[in-house]
Amino acid sequence: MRDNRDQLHAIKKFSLTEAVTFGQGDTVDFTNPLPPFSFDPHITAYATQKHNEIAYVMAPHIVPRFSLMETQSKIENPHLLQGYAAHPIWVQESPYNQTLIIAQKPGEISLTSQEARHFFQIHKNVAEWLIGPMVRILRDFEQLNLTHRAIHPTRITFDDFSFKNLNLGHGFLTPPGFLQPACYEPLQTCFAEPTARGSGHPSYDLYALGVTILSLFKDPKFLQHLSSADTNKRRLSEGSYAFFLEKQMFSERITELLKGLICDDLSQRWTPDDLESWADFNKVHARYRPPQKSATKPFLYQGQEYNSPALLIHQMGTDHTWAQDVIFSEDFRVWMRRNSGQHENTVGIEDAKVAASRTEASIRQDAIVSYCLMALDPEQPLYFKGVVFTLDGIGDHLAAYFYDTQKRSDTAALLNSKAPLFWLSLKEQKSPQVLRFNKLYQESANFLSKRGMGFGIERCLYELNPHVPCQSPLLNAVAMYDNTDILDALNHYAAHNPGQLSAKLPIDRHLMAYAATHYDFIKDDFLNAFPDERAPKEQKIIGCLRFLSLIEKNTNTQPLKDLYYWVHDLSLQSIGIYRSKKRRDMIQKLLESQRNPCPIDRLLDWIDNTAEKKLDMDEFMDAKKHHIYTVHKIKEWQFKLDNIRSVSRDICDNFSILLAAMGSLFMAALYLFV
Amino acid sequence: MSKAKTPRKAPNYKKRNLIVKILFFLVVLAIGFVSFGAFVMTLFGALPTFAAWYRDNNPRKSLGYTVGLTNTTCIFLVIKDLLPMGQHLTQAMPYLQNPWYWCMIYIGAVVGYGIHNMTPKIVIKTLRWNFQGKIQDLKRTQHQLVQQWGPDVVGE
Repeated sequence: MRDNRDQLHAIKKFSLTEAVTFGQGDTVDFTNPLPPFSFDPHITAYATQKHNEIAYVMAPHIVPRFSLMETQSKIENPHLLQGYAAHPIWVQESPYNQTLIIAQKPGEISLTSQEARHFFQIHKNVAEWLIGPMVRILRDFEQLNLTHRAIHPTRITFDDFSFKNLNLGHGFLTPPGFLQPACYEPLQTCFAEPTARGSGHPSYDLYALGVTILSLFKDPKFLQHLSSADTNKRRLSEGSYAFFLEKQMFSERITELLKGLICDDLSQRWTPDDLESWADFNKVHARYRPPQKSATKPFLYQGQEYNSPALLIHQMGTDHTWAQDVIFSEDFRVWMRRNSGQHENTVGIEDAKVAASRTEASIRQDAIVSYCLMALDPEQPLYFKGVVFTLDGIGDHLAAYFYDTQKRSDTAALLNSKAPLFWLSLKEQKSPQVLRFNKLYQESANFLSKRGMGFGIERCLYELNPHVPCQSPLLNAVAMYDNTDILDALNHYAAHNPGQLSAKLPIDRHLMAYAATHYDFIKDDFLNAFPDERAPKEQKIIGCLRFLSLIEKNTNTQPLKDLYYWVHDLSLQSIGIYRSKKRRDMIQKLLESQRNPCPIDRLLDWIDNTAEKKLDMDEFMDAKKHHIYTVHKIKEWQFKLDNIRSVSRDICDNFSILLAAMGSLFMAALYLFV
Repeated sequence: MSKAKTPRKAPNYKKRNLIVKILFFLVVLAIGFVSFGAFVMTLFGALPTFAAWYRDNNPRKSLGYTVGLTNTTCIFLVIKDLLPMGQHLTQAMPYLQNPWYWCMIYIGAVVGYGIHNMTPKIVIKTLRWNFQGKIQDLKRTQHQLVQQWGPDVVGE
């Protein structure tokens, strides 16, 4: 990655219509401007190798899975704005009556949706056109372990009328599934917050493809109808396939395709291989499993009647005011037992309550509701405080709303409640992904319980979203293409803010958390020993030098001039850690003699010398004892001074007698001899 | 570990004073046996000493000793001429009637009083000067410690 630095800097400056040189001298048209976000080396390498198909892999190469979709006023980090502004202008909230883009390059043809529909109806093999390249793309994504999660008719484009090169459009600038209307999302994610849908499974893209194909044949009014709020609930009770098709008849071949793709059961949904077989006119069997039968007697919740247990659980999850009372009522248990056919789940409520009661008191009520709903139906997404999450969407939600205090604290409360861990514990199959998430959420809860630098919600942000760029204000407006660029970025900051360095440390909570996430050599033990924010400044400076030195050593970075001067000034401020003035003067002389950039480790050797510190402390303790002795002595002498008459009485008595004796002798001698 | 200092035993002033008193009276009696004139002069000449001795409430009897020393010294200087005269009072009368001798004896007592009154002032002044010097030295040491180690060196 570091070898491509020049090219990457060129990419950063790229605008919408420019073409830049990339990789091995290939000229590639980028469909989006490139924000200075983090790069995924894996995808970059892929883009370099397959430059001919760059059209659909450029987007993940640019920004893996992150954006801020909050109003711009809430965005505090200006360099993220650049990324936000990178959204193509043709994204619209209700695109159904808008132009269906067939080709987006200047000079190529765009058709209105009606024309496009007519166009596709004339060409009966539209599905084949779409399916052929799509299978290729989806297979590539599968190999890369990626999901697009934004497959939608308004975003799919062809490079030309040969229909060979397909462009799925952007989808990587935002959290997975964020751009999708809920009807393009499978049942597993459609209820979740748009920012919390998660990357999900490759088959989610196939589901979106199915709805996309269906939308090409449907009436526009039907598409509008799909966006209504009740759609998802009807899908839940009726099943997606039955709901979408509404008894409309298609050819047997198209029906088979739609049945295979718009299938709520993940295990039954078609794979790219099935899709390819279908495109090759082979017989592929699509299995459709009708939804569970509705209950004969509805259950009344919040004035509404519910026939489906799943729907009732969903309603209790989103409108949770009375959920706890209802869950523990006998009526509900009886109703669930009769209708869900899952006796063990209603029994598991008690276990869920016990597990939830171990959480903090402030979030216990919400946790009880959340745990119980999970116990009732483990297949449903995760409900917490009325917000719906998928397991892998929690990190995206946290990243998207990191600057929204309320939503951030709600997400932190969710992680703190360990609800994701309980959800995972209900899974019978302990797949590697389940184990990975289990570890991740266990660690996140631990990080939240610690207040020190490198922990807290910031650490959770980076652990759950490894591709999120560092949010530290110190790295503002500085692009980091590689994790090893932290020192470069700090050097850049030092070079451009020379007047503001003396009072500022080159670390903060974000930087520490980011580094702890991305560097294996920064262990939690190191962070635990790191001085906290209330520690004296000298200790914080030394901690900071240790941190930078560790990175410098482990990344083999050469001393950087501006960063060195910054650190050098700070190290001069840190000599106060030594109590002895002599020692301080000596170290100051040493530091002042080292004006040329050198490894930070050398400065640290002078300032953070364990033997010297011990000696200094021992001498200081002796001096302290001596001072205490002098205080006592002064008190003693002062007491004597204050009581000098009584103190001097004996002396006076003895002295006067002595004086009298001497005087007498003197007088006698004088009288006798003179 | 250094051996703990045993407190010095307070001197028994009463015993000492009693011995001195007995010795004094024995000496006076001895003088009386030798010379009546010397005895009379000693008896009346030592009146200031007696007064000082009994007026002094201090168990050390420093006033008594101070006045006694100067007073008795003068008495002995005067009676040294009377002692060879034996019990002949007539021979001793010129001495007894000589005011110069009495004056010398009482001036000796006055000097004793003077020494006793002046000594505390001198001693206190000297001690105060000495103590203040020591306190100044200690404060200087403290200041140096603070200069060298900073304000944290000041203990609780």
